[in-house]
Amino acid sequence: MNRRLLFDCVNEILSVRCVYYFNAGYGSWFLGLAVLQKLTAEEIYAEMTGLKVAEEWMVDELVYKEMSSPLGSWVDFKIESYEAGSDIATDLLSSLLDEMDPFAKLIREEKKEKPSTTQPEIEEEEGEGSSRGERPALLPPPRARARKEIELDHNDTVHDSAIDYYGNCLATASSDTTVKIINIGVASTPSQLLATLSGHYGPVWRVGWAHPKFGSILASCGYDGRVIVWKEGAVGQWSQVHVFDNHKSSVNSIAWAPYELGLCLACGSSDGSISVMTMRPDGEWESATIEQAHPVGVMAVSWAPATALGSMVGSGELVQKLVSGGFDSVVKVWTSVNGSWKLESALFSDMHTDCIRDVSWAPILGLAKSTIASASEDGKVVIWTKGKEGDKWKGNVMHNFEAPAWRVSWSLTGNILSVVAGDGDVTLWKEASDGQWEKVTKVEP
Amino acid sequence: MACIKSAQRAALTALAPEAPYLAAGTMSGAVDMLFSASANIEIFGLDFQSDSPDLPLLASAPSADRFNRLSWSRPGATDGGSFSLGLLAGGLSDGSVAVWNPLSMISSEGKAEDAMVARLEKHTGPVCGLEFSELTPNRLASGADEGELCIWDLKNPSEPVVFPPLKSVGSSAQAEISYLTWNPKFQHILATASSNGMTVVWDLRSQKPLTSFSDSNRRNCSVLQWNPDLSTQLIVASDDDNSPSLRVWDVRKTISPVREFVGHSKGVIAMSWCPYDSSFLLTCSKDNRTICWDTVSGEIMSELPASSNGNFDIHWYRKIPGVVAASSFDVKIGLYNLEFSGLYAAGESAIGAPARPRAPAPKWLKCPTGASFGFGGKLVSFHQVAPTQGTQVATSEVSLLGHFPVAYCVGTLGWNF
Repeated sequence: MNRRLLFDCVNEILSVRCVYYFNAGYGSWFLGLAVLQKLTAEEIYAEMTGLKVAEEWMVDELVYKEMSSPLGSWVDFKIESYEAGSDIATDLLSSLLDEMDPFAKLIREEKKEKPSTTQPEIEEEEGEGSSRGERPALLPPPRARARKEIELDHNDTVHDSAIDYYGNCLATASSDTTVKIINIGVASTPSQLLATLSGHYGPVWRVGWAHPKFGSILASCGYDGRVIVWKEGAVGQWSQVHVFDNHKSSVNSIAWAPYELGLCLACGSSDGSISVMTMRPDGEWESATIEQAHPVGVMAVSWAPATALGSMVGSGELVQKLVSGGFDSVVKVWTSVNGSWKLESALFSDMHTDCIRDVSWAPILGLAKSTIASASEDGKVVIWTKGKEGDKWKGNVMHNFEAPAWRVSWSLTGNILSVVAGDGDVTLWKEASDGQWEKVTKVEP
Repeated sequence: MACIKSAQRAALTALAPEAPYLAAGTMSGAVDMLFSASANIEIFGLDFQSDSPDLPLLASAPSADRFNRLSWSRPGATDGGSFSLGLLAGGLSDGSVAVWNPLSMISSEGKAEDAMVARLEKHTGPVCGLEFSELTPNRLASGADEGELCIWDLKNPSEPVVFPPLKSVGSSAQAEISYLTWNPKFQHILATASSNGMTVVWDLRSQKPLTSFSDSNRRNCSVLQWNPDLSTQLIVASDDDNSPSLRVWDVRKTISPVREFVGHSKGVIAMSWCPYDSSFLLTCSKDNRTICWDTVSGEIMSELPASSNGNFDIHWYRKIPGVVAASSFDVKIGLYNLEFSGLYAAGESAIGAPARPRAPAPKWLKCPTGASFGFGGKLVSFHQVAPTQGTQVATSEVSLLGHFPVAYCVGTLGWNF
């Protein structure tokens, strides 16, 4: 009987001490053997007396002792957290891989879609894919997979549209003097009109969303010369925070500055000047004006990214630069020096022979150059690049569309440019390794 | 609305249709401080990229007499590369029409005498009606005393060909022609206005007047312009101080005018209908006001800054919408940016009611299509849709396109290899 008890005790001790090692593979097993060899009789005796004392312990102490292991006590949830961590790691890795390999993701999606046939927005593309003989048969053609028509209620032409930072809301500006806010969050549900903002007396030309860190704020500008800043209080309830009417004629373009510069808005007008409004901490707005920026009228303004080229994040030096394009076919870059704006360089060229319709400064990608795209009525889109400070801007015609180029827009990571020309032909462009720009795809209207 | 650029000249102007130049010919009847009788034709460069307020003088040539009218043809008037800027013609007070080659004027800068390529002598009195046809740039129409209208073919400028002169007789007889202009859509139709109040629309294919009309008072007509969009409509202005009127006529119905624009207090001496947006019309009057009208509603949209002396010539600059060239009695040629300020109806709305803008926005400010990126690779685009039956106004379609993964395009480039 005693021998049986002794045997059980030794078994118990061994399992407590050494199970960890012996469950986990060869390396640990080896370690476990070493541990075993070191185990002396005295230790076993000490454990046994410990076990005997355990009679007097309370239940939870017993449970606590039982459930502990060399890895730590069970209430620490170390094992659970380890497991959760490894789940997250696998998810991250798979999403990164998905981005790197759209083919694999699409194959997976197709497998999921086959059982459900009620997805009207997804276009059928297998036919086109198979007609391209030189491509491997399975690869899908490079086109958007999902497109959605948005039901609008505007009574007149739409002149601008902008998606907010979260990708949920769309604001549209129209000649019927209103701005409409539409919810576009989920791809499969129909869009829903959230609000209609009236306050302009003439056609509204542009809208722009401010950075969400300032709240849900939208600015609109129009033919009546007014710039209105709207703020959403309760969901769907918008009110005018501020109205600027210092411009005497049509304000053609507005652009919010990068959030690092505060809540700051640049407005370009037909009277030839650009005004920059900044909100002070007390809620009042102060304005600075660049007079006679383009005497025949300013058509487009755009801000440079706030961090300087090649600098580390948070290095302190904020870049305050603005690019503007006007009816005089010139693109001008302005910089703020001690609070007042000065012309840094005027990008004259023989390339643009007609009014500039849109300019856009590319978001920094970590590349060592600043890039501006300008689109003009003569059909050309020119890409201007500058290396470091002190270099001159160099311009290259990206493409001649043979029809007025209306808008250019950089993707948020800065490497794809969308150009809209003529009657609504949207094309996407990317820079190839040799510096030439090539068309990635044409988005079918 | 400031004057962007100016030059000190008392001259009639003509803007080159497709190049950034302005021609100025000394105006007949202008007397300067020195009582000089010289007359010349000058070409200024229009460079809106520079900030300088002065117009740079590029070329100058003497002229036999002072000018009553100036017209610049489109390129393509004559064969040969030496006429790539077209031809510049001036109607002189001595009854002749002088034709210059602007390209050789600008490029040679010194041998300006060689630049005059032709001198067309056919008329007797001052040539006040002169215009190159836009649709057939080698055709020049000139009109002077006794209602005489001549059509010249300047394909070979050193040997100009003239068609038999046209004269309207009888009840539609005209006294001296004060203005003539070609129809913007039909190349064989021409309209002439005369100081005896008779306006004649000519059909050159049949060499006869198509129709003629005048209003009941037979007022002195000074200028007329065709509607750039509606080819049967034209507007006739009178420079009679007692009843200055701007009347819009439709040639299909010449009994009475379609409408009248009221606003000037003295006679109108110059007028220009905006060629790229037919809702705007500029008129200059002896009451020293230069008014921009909204032709749809008939209301006054905007005015050039008032000056002590009015303008006598006005032209829209086609290359930059909203820019006009005006010659003033102040011995100044100015280029202005029409900003359409003063949008709100003055004083008529009740306190608290929102003021309405007077007229719809100019076409050149409207952007019909666009696209922008959003977070998550979404792209939203919109384009205009033609008006459906029954509605007047075009609407737009907005589409949301997604989803463009970031490294999407790296993959597509790889497939091309």
